[in-house]
Amino acid sequence: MQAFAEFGPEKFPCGCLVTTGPGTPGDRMIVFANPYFYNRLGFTSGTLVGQALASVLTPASRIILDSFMLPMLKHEGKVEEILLEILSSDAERVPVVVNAVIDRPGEEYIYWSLFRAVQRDKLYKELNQTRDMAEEANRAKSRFLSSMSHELRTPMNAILGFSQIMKADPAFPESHRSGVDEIIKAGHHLLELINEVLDLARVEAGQIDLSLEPVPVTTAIEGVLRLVRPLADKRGIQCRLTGTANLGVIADRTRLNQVLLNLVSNAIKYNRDGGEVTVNVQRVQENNHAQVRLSISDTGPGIDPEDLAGLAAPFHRLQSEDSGIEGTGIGLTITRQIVKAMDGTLGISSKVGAGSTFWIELPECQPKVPVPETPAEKPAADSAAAPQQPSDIVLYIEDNPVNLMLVEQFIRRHGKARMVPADSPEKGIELATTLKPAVILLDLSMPEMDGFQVLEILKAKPALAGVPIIAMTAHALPADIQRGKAAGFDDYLTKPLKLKHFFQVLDRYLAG
Amino acid sequence: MNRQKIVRRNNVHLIGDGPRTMMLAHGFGCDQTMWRYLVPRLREHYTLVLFDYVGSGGSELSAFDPDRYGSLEGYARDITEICEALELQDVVLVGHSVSSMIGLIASQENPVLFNRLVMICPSPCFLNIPPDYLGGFEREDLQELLDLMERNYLGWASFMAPLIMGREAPPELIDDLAKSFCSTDIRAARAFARATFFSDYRHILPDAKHPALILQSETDALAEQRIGLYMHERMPGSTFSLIKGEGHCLHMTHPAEVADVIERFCADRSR
Repeated sequence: MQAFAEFGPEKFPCGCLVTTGPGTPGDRMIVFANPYFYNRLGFTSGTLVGQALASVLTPASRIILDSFMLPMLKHEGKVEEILLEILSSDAERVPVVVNAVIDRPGEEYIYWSLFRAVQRDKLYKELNQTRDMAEEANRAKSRFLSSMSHELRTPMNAILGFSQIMKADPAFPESHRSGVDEIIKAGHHLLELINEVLDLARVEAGQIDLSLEPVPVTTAIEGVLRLVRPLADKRGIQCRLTGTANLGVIADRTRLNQVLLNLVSNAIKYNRDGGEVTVNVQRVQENNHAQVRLSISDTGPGIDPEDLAGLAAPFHRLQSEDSGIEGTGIGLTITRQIVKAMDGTLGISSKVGAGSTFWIELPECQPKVPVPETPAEKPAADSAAAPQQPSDIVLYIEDNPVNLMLVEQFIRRHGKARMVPADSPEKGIELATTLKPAVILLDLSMPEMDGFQVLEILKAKPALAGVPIIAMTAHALPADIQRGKAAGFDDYLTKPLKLKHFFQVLDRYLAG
Repeated sequence: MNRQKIVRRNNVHLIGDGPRTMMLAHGFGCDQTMWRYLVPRLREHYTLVLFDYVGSGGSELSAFDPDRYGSLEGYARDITEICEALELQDVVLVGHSVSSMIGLIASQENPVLFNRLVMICPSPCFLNIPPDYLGGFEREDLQELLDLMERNYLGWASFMAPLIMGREAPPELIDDLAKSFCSTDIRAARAFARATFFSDYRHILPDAKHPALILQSETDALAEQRIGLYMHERMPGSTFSLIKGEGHCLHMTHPAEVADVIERFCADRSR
């Protein structure tokens, strides 16, 4: 039997090359190529010996060879699975996957094996194209969500706004009062659903902006328990906080509140009347990292083990379709994603008949002494040109007549100002200059000129210095709000307007 | 942004406790682990600040913003934000390849933060811009290079992983690392590649505000000797040093020589 050592590189179905190594001065020269290499690339046998390796490479492949492969070879003695393009005898590009080793210690030679990768490369290119398309589709989804947010919130503004006005009107017939209550309730529910769907989409797209900081856990839980008290009292449910006091976690304050609110209100919703909700705080050790576990336990019916698995899927609601328990079924999905984004984990344990415990674990930190918030800076209404008689005019620049009508009614109810409508940007700019209003409300989406352009023109007028300009829009994504504030708006009101919040903002900016 | 957020975003690590601060900025196609051969020498005398640009290595990909990171100024902001968050001063900023220019931008925008610059295999512009400047490449060549690097994307991981981990690392660790490379956002890699290879920052060279050391490799396909000399001629207060060696990654292939030159440059207090 023939010894294996006798089979030379001419037998192998891949390109084999030997070139000079870094131990030899000058370029890497070809000292040997096997028949497969010559045949596949169309060169006459023997003609490549003495040629520079670079001469059979495309310019881009030369850069990869010089800049990355040779340093790597020198350092590690080998490279593997690098895709290069070789030039055939008729200058056709052939993609090849290359492995190479250097002989040591002299580093005189490098041994190369090259595998044709035409099919692999074609597939990879297709894969790249598909990925690019998917990414573009994802961006389109984000744009769609942003515009849907606007489209859905605009009609909600009219529905909720006018029904709130009707309800507050003493002359409104008593017989229709419960109907209006239903409209408001359904409107709020629909709004919550819209917000949650948008929130879920953002979270899924990895677009949540987290501001991680030390958060004192007890304070956060107490705040949430205060918020849910009316809900618990209604059903005679006791809420308690137990465990270690004064622990801190690294989390986004607002998002942690959202998570706790979701878990605690679920524990109330899915509890029995007169039951209990216990929030327990304790320190746990996870792989040598100190974590804080917040467990929220209820005394509800518990969850069947079979149902546990699908619990965090969107729109999944346990036996609640007929139970009269309100909710969108998105909350827990969002909660889990947010906890994950904050480097935490969420877990569930449950026993049918005894209740369930939902827990989250977050990285521990030393709690910081809460710093009292500085009060929001008020606009300098009394600066430079202090008017003798403060204006009571609120100028509202908005092309949608329904919104104009609604805000006019809001302002009339408010009672401390009067609204002047401007149904086009041009008219608004003109009225702003002549009237010098106390506050300008400015819609962001108008066909001829958008709110940002109008803002720029208004800001450039010295006569209007110090007049607060508030953006009014149904674009409620955080990025939109940030963009508005960055552009120089004093405040930002999102539609649908809430009567109370609108009054607060108005009070803040009306002079006197 | 607060310290913690920046540290997390840019995967910042502090090594050593020397009296002077040195920040090491990686180039395109890798991350802070490419400094591993240089770190043992430098940590003796410096507090080293290592980081990954947003979009590279272990940075937070969610912080990637295509507008910001579409130009080198965006990456320069990463550097200054890290310096500000960690309250660094008098920093010796060492940049490899494109990071040399990113460092120069950062040092001109916020001169007070920096003490001096070290540029390893730099180029202010890779493109040929006739009639006066030959960066070495036509636009099509570079487009092809980006394309080839992108097609190498998965292979790149297995290529870089052993280099980063060292030959003795257990294979499963290398696999882990390869996986983490593969999960890197290709959109971010593409943006960095374009910002690196299609930019032209020659005009900022004369405005150099700090002493700079230009480290040039004898043979470097990406940045030939004349590029280093071109920069040296135009940057006031610059020092040019030719290292006997080939390739574009001197800090990996010739760490001892590179560390020697850097230490001499930094020890020279007359600058």
